[in-house]
Amino acid sequence: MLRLRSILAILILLLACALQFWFASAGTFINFIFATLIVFAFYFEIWELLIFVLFGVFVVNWQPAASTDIFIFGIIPIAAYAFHKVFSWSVWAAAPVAIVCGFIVLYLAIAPSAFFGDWELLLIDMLGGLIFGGLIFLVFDRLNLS
Amino acid sequence: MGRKRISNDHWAAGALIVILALLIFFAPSYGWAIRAWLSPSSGGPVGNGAGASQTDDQTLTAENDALKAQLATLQVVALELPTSTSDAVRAMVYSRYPMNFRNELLVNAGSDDGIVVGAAVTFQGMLLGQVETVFPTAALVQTIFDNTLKMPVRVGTGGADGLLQGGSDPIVGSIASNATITPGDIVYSAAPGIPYALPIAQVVATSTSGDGFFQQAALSFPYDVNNVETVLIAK
Repeated sequence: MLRLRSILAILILLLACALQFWFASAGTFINFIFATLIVFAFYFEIWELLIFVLFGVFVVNWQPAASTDIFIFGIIPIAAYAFHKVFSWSVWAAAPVAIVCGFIVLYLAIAPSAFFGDWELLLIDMLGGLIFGGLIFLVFDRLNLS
Repeated sequence: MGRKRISNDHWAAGALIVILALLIFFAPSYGWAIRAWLSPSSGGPVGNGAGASQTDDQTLTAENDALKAQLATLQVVALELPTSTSDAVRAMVYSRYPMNFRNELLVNAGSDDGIVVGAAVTFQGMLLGQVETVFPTAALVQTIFDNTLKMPVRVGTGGADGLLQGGSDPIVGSIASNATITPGDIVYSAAPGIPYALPIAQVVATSTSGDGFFQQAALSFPYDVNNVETVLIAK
């Protein structure tokens, strides 16, 4: 079961990468990878989550140097994991809250001007993340992989 | 047995984490390769679409169309391939900023090629941006579509001063209210460190700024920044 869950997670992460880059090439930026990593925080242990986060950072990083943007991108799913462990909410309630909060924190930390000045971008990004995250939940729930 | 399995899993996870961390810091180009592999290809092979049931003529027509399409694609690629000159370096785009907070490109020319911070970056003769950070073999380019970019420019034959404000739809603001600007005017560079009068965009519409003191101009660009694959960087 553990193997099936991990393989499925890798496939979902690859799909998220493909979708994110496909949309980006058309000029629409939806952070599918970020939403996926936040959802994974509710289904995987910290070691597995770290692997997925590092893989996400590895693929998303666009320059040969560390950057604050990438650090924030990677740390938020870890924070979602801590949130999940500290507050034992139902996954169905906690995960959408975590996705919404994650996107808000990401925007506020990286580009507050986009958060306050161009909130449509945030809404599209967040909505895309919520839909994709919801689909991942459905898959994990239906296959009883939690 | 169960404990040993868990221990093995932890070792495997630890090894994977170390490998990924090493790749992130020492071999990021593999990440860009994965990204390129997962991204839609702009110039992939063109299929001829001829089914077995088609006649020879139809097959030949389809092949002809496919070859024409392929030729057109290659001509576009050829147009995008400027040659390096003594005062400029040709560079290919490695990767792009992956989120919607910035508009940056990583190109495959760096300090080893004589690139310096602030150098002008052009695409098909038009100013695309400025070098922001330089690495030995790569450079980060902030494009004029970046939200944080602000650059002095001039507009039209009268040379009206303005301030280019980057973003997904860049505009030129702070144009004096008595300056004459009309749709069709060319916006060109007038910033320190950048060659003077590099074309940037064309004015499509003018309006008055929110405070009523200045004019502003909406712009159109003859290219899509998401499809830019090669650039020229001034040395």
